[in-house]
Amino acid sequence: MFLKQGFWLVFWLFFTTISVGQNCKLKISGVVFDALNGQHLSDAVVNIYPVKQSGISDMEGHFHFVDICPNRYILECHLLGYESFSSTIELNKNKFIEIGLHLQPTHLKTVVVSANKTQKQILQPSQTLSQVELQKLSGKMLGDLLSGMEGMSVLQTGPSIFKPMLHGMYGNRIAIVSNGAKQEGQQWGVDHAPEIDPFSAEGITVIRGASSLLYGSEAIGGVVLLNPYQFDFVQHTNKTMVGTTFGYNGRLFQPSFQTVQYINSAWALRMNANGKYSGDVKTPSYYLNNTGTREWNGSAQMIYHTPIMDLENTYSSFNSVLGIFKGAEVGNITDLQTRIKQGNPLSTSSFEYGINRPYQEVHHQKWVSQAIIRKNGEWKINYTFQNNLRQEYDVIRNSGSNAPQMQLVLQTQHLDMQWKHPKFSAFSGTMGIQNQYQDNTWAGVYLIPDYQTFGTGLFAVEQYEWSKKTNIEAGLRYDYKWMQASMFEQPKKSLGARIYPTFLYNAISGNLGMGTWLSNYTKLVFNIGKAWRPPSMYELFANGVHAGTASIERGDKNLKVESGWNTNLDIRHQTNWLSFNATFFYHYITNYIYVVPSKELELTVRGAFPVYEYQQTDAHYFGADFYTKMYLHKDVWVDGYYNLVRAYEVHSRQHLALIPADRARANLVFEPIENHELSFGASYTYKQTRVSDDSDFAPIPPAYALLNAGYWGSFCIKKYELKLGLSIQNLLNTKYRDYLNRFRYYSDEMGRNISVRLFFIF
Amino acid sequence: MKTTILKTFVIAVCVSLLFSACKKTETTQQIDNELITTVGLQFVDASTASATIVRWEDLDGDGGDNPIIGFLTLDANTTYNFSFSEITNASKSPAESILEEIEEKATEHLFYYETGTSDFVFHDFNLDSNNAPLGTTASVTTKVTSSGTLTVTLRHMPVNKSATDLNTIGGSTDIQIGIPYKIQ
Repeated sequence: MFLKQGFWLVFWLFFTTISVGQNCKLKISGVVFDALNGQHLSDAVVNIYPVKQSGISDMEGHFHFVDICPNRYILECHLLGYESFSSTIELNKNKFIEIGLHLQPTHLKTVVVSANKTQKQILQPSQTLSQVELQKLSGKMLGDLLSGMEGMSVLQTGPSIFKPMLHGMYGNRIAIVSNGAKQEGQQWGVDHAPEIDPFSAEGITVIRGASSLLYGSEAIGGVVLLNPYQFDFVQHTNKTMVGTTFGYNGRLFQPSFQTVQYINSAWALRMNANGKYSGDVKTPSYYLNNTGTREWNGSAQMIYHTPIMDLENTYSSFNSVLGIFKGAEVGNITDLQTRIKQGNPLSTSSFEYGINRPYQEVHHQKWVSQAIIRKNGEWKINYTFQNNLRQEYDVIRNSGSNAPQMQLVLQTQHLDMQWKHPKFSAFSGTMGIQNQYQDNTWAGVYLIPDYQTFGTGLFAVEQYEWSKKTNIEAGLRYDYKWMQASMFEQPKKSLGARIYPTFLYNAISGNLGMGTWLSNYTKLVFNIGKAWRPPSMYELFANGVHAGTASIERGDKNLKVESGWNTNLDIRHQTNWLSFNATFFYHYITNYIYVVPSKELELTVRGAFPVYEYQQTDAHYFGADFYTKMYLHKDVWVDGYYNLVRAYEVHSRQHLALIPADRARANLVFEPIENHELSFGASYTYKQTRVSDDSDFAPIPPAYALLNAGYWGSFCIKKYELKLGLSIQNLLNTKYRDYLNRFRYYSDEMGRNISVRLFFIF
Repeated sequence: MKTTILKTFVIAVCVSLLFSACKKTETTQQIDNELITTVGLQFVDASTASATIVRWEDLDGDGGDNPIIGFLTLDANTTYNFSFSEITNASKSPAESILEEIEEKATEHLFYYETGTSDFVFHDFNLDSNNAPLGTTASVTTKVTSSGTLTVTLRHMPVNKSATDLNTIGGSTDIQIGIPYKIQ
């Protein structure tokens, strides 16, 4: 009997010791700042030993670690140009630490982190998705993945084509930069999704403000940066991830592989590969025939690193085949109107993986070579070569043919050089030159002519620390662009003389920004700038049926450059338990280029098509993004987003088409066990009431609400980590249509989708 | 070891660049655009064998010049044998016959004729191999004098060949032309 009691006592003691030991839910957060001037420092590496957790301070100098056990630790922080900081901390409850770093008196010692390749204009509002957040969204196309971020919405052409939209702007008005090089594809096309694999990036940052200074003329609305992997030769941890994603709707299967290998103290390599195989997508009532996709992507990044120099080469390949919904094959205006009145596809079938005509096939290869030299500041040179091949395979009578009906090949080369000068007194800054040469050829159906472009941009950005709390940034850029098309006078018939319309543009753009800390936790940022955008070849020379819209679009070769003033105000407040962010933006664009119905009907062999013409006007764009996150309890938090955009013509005060309606979203997240979280979310998209029903082919769809739920957990087994995600989107299988999806003319949106994600990391 | 890795890497890159280059040359072959520029309608009087031909032509495709549309004049109270004198892509030289391709793929096509009046009717269409209507030839019966527009529609991959209205027939419109007519 005594033995039995003793056993239970020991058992109970053992159990409680274990459970006490398991209270590893403490958080360490803090801020890294310059000990001398108080400026918050980004990209500082913070390590905790012996737990071996590591983090990098964000743009506001903040960092945080979660799920730490109570114990005594050594916290260490280092950043290029500063002396390392080390301190012992005793952790028995959540801790907030302020780390003040002192500048190194002499020149640079051992570089611990290869320099940040993502050039950010430090003072524009932005949001970043980390690697983990990208994993939680694996299987989605880039535009779809980005649509949940602040300020973002998405322009869709069916369930497989997503074009990112920032503050209502898309295509040639936002730049997408991956691995330091601007992505060049046929961005002018509404049904041309960006040819980028989100898995090739370590994180994605969206900058919600005009960023033409560093990214050129197409960043008038903002930039999407796909951040490359940052090698860490101090930690040099080899890491491999093998994963797979399954999506029930569409029977999606996406295997993925990623590895980082440090070969020795100077060489390292990162490789990734993934593929996607999916079939017909289902709305709540029927399958969308021929909406399967195939994708196969890979990249290899190799670096040679010394304290003074980094040499890096990256090769990436993106390949996709996208089925186009058979029910969206519409002929002339009468057919479209009849189809819209009918509301749903005429015929539907059961699930199939097969992709038949019509489909799109896109291949994008990118090679980036970069050298960074850290002497007298930091010098960076990079050369990029991109090859974009886009083909459209339409339904044809000749079933023996394997050829596409339209093909565009765009080759672009960039050669950029920049110098970040050493900081003197309170000034830091960068100046550089960016050059671009581009060559386009077409075959099959004429959409845009053959052309070449050459551009040069010279820029300089300076940041001045006005005080401990306030920074001022000013930048100026001069751009020169030459474009020459090579075409027949009657391009579609290849008749008439050969003409070479040539365009020359010169523009100055600039930005003035100010960021100030109103308190330790609240920052205010204000920007005002001038940006420009030359017309695209499509806006100049379009002349033909716009695929799937039953309309003919006509360009105007006399279009002038768009130029605009833009301003934004961003307020950010962040403490341990509450984050709040509000961004207000305004653009005034003169010579804004857009397409307008002309009241003309053109007769073709396939019937009558309304004609749309490219015109210029003056336009306002303004709106706001709101975001808040609140911890209700140390394991429970809630966040909310609200986006709104208004855009209209200055003189007629008529609202522009294809502007997103207001959208509100909220999420509730529980973390009942360490490293396992349950989330519930809801979104409400308002009806776009600023566009009248008769200015569109179909009535504007009503407002709709969607619910989703998910689980994300991480299991650690010795040195291995297994991440498991389960998510249900459109939980209630709601039937809805979205104004920004062109296929709303033909069908409902996707119904419920259940995804399972598995990542094995070792 | 450094050089081996570098060499392997360079070779791998070259191979992939080569691969992408190959893909490009393969597709710059002949690209099919299947344009139809010319449609000719032929009405042969069943009793007198005299023929009336009317053409619709748009040589440069969408945009550019407007199509040139003929005017159809037929006699009242007559039966005609209708067929197409041509359906071609005359932008190519020699002109490519699309009518041949349509007839080869008869099960994937259906013609539809609208006149706006029951006094001018197309009937007894020719059939495809499944005994479903095709309509590249038909009988035409005219009654009293009238005028209007004859709309000729060709649907590719129709969903329901036995339907009597365009909407239920489905498929995509490859031809939809309007020819003004007068029955006198």
